[in-house]
Amino acid sequence: MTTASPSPFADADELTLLAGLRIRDERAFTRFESLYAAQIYGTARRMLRDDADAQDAVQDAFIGAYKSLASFDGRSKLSTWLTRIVINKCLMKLRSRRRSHEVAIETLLPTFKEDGHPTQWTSHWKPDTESDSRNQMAALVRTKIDELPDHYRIVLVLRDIQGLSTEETAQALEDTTNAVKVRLHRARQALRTLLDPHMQLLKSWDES
Amino acid sequence: MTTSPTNPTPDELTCRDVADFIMSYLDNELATSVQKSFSDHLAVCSSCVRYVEHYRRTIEMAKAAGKGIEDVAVPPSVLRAIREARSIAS
Repeated sequence: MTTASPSPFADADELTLLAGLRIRDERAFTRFESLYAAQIYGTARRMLRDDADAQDAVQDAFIGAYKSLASFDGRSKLSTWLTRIVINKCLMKLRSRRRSHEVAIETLLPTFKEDGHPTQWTSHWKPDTESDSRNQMAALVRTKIDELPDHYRIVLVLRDIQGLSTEETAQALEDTTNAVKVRLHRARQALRTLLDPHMQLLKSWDES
Repeated sequence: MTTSPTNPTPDELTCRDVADFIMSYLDNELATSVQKSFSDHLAVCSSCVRYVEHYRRTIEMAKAAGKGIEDVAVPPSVLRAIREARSIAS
């Protein structure tokens, strides 16, 4: 994945590239863009679910990065820094969107009786081998991820799909690690609920 | 859920506790005694065994679904716009 994977550079190469960017060397800009444009485009597409918006975010991210090169302290990798910038651009776009169609997360979480027992027993899912084809399943899962409320979907995308650590996600979202964990957990539970009708081997078993 | 998913305290876990603390359980972040209570509950509750399995498969499916979105090149028009923007800025 993006920031979790090792940099394609040795440290010296990274420093050379950074030095080139700082003196506005045309070759350094071209190299920087060819190395990371596709990577951050993937991040933006997963976060925004809209190619045109994702392209805007990529463009804004590179321009934003070039404007703030002087303040980049070089303590993180260039790819990590650029990813953080594109995430922020995506978050700005998401905040500007209307969200009237979103379902409340509470309706997608499991419910329990006073004594802690579930109000509904967990269904039986098809084993892996009996699941629909990989591509069909991936398309279904993407559709269901899209149905999650933005506040939760973003964390699931950054952690489980983008591969950021809890700390990196908290930093990008300017939130605490504990809040990120709570949101990720609820997002996974909600996604399980959305997938459940498509995964069931049989209708709910009466085990009560 | 009002408790933190990382700080459970119950001696004997209920199905609700299992649902609340499952992430910490799978990440081995629970205290040893709570991790054992969690396993003890799973030994006698098939519904929670299935829930834990569903949760684990949901994570795997989300990861697999994300991989299909990655390999897309940025349209040349976007790269051109970036080049033009930086030449104006410099």
